[in-house]
Amino acid sequence: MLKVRPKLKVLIVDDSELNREMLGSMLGNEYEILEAENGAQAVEILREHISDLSLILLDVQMPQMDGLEVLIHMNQSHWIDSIPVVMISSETAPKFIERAYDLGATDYIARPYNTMIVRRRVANVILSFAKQRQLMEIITQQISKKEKDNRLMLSILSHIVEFRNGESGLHVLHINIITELLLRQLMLKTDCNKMTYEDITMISMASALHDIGKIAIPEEILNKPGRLTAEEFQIMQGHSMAGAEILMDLPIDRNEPLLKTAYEICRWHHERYDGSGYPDGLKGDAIPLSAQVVALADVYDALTSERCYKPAYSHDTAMKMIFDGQCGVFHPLLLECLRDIGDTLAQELLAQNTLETENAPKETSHITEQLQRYGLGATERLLQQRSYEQQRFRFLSDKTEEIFFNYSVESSILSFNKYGAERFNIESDLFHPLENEKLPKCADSNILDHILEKVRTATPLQPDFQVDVPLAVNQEIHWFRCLGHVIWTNENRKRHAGVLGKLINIDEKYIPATNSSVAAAKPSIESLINGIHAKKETDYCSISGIEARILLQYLKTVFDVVRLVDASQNCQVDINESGAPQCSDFHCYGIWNKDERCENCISAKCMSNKGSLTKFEFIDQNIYHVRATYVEVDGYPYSLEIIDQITEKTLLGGHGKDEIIKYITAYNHKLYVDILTGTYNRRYYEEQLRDMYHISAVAMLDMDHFKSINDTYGHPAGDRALRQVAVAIKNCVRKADYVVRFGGDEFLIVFREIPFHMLPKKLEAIRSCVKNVILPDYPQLQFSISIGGVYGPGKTSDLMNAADTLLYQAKREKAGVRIECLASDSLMNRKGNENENETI
Amino acid sequence: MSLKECYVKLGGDYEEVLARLFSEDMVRRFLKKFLSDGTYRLLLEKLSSEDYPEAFRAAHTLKGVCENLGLSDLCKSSSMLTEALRAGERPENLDVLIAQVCTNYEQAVSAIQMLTGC
Repeated sequence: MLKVRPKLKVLIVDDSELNREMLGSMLGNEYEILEAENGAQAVEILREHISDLSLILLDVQMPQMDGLEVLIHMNQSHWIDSIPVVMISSETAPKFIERAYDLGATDYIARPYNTMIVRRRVANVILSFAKQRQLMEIITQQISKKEKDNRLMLSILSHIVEFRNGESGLHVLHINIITELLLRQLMLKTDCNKMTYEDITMISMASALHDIGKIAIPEEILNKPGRLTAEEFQIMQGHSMAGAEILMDLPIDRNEPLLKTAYEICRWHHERYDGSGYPDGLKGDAIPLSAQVVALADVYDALTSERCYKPAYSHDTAMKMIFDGQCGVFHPLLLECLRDIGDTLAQELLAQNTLETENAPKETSHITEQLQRYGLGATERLLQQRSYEQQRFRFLSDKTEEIFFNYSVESSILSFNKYGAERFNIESDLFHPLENEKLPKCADSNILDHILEKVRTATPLQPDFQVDVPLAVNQEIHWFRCLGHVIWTNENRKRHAGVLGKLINIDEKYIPATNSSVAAAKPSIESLINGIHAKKETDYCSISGIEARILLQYLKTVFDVVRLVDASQNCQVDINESGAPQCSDFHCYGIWNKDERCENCISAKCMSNKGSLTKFEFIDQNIYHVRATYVEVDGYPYSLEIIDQITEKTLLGGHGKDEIIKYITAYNHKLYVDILTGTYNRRYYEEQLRDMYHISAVAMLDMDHFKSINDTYGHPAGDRALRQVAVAIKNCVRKADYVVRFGGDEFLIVFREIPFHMLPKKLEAIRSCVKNVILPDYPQLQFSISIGGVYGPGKTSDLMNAADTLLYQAKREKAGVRIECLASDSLMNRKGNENENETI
Repeated sequence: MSLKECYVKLGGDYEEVLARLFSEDMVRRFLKKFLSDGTYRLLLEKLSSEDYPEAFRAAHTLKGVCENLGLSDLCKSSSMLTEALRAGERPENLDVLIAQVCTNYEQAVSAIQMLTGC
């Protein structure tokens, strides 16, 4: 390792100071030594240093709590999984040694101490543990990274499709969820060993790509309201084969399982069990299971969602239509699964109406499964889901003056964070809490039962609960809102693994006896995380400064960049330790190495519509996935930006080559470019330019008598003319300006930061350039163009409308060019205020 | 007085200690520490208050310290006391055992004091 590492920490537990010192000296100054003179002290130190202790030297005979008891405690709290313990004692009786080994001690050093032996043993044990720990961390990181990257890649590709489809981004997410639910149900039902959880994850991930072939379908057909003609329908049907071909064209190893699965889904998700589907008319189980499941999921979601050609049907109607066979024939077993999950389905989809949920527990459980797959045995598994979650819990709970609790079924320990233990005046860890005498002092049995009932009625699909309860703090009754989250095991038959929760004091609601109206409680971390994906406009997340700070810290452990942005001031906002937001000097666009505001500022958009938006930034060779979500911090509006870099290395877990980036970048380019003229297209205007502010000037251009060229010389001549005119226009403007083919022979130019006196010169230059255009095959043709130009502040679309008016004025008057300069306040009430405008 | 002579006087195995602890400095340092170590006093305290379980622990600790420092005679007598106390009750021959521990302790202390000059 190149890095200078801090010294490893060793805890020496022995009741004799002399013995401790002697061991310390023997180990020399390679280690940082912590000391405890009895078991109770050792547990205290362990609690604090659990994450950075490398080894414990533990005596057996000690007052208060002896060495074996320490081992028992370490087992219950699972610390034994992550810290090696070496016993030191003159107790050479075999029963002690055996018991110690049974309890997870790694090694044993007998007295009298020998310097060589002590050093060697300690070094060896630390090394082997450190290696395992390191290995485990590397594996965990890689798996989670790969998972994340896969999701991002899918999100990009499916985003491109939706982008075009005009479908809500939810379709892909819904398919994903329904597919997963169906498969899990199928797994339960058939109890077959053929399918693993990993397969389920993979199929549901790949399902995101089912409609990728729609890229190849002309937009008019894709978004046609009303029925498609037979011919159009045939073209539309081509999307499944087109999708499969696109995937095969990707420069990815074709044996990549995800790609294979995605291929099956793309190609065959319109096949039907009776062979009546397309494109291949496969029948029965000749259709891969993945495609069968996605087909059913697709049908259900299409029925229950609004589309340009149909309204949304209710869940019941949709189910009836499917079971009546109105949407084709499906595998009877799959239909049964759909019926089984039917009740929870609608709710589940509603609850998960969040684009790209980074479902942390799901991810961890997947990692755990992976770890098992890597063949690391039970005793060696150090970073199990449990300890991972414990770390996270500790991290979160240490940072706050709120009461957190955590109950683990396996160890039967109820833990409170430091603050909670202090408030209730109980120990941080209670073994068998329900039998413990201390707990009833805080809450009587009715109240405990009430909470337990909530825990029992929670389900894996709805693991969260909330209940308001009175609890005793220093013998006074205070009201608390208990927000809980039940954790489940990963096994087939889900069982409670534990409960995680938080208590919020809500005295102000209950003490003044104002009851009734339920004021919204401050959100827990869970709901904070969910809240930021809020979809409905009213569902935005409103949090305090301190909560925002915690949220940012939490998210930063998962994403490359997480920040608050105030789009109105273009600045990045920091939150200091006391929770106060402060505008930093750093401009938000600085992160992109830009000198000015982004062309497509989603933060500004989501701040104005209080929603949530996604975009991709293409900077140099990299793609960045950016999510902006409206949040209110202490009542002030901000945008929460989450940014992930997608590099060629990370795409598809490293199998990707830079061609993928090129492919996507090229596709992005294609989306925005007019094929005929090479200028930007109308879509670019609608999506990127229309809502931009402060672009300084806009010109609308329209060729004179263009129709007669088409009529007289035919469309090829017209096309060639348009191409040449576009070249002429582009040659006259700067690189920073945007030339858009608005439609037919109409062009739009958006000028950025041009001085007013330059505008007429530019526009005249364009006119004369267009006049000079000569088509080699049609030398007799002459061209001219009329222009309306507007200079002023405000939104592009407003300037465009004004320019359009001027263009028609220019046409009518045969004036060639007309230009106006709008005063700063005139845009607000432009109509009827023509006098204020300076006309040239 | 040399360290070796000291070990002869207090009834210990000099060669064995040096082999384990590596340097004379280390041995001297911890012998000096032994003088201020409170385990012996704790043992007498617990015995006089007839708290035999705690006395057992103290005797056990004393034994351990002696083992590490190679104070063989004291180690032997405190070991016998430890085993006698293990049951947590007053053993029959307690007084004899205590007397032996006291004698060996005094021997050790006086030898170490001569060595270190304090």
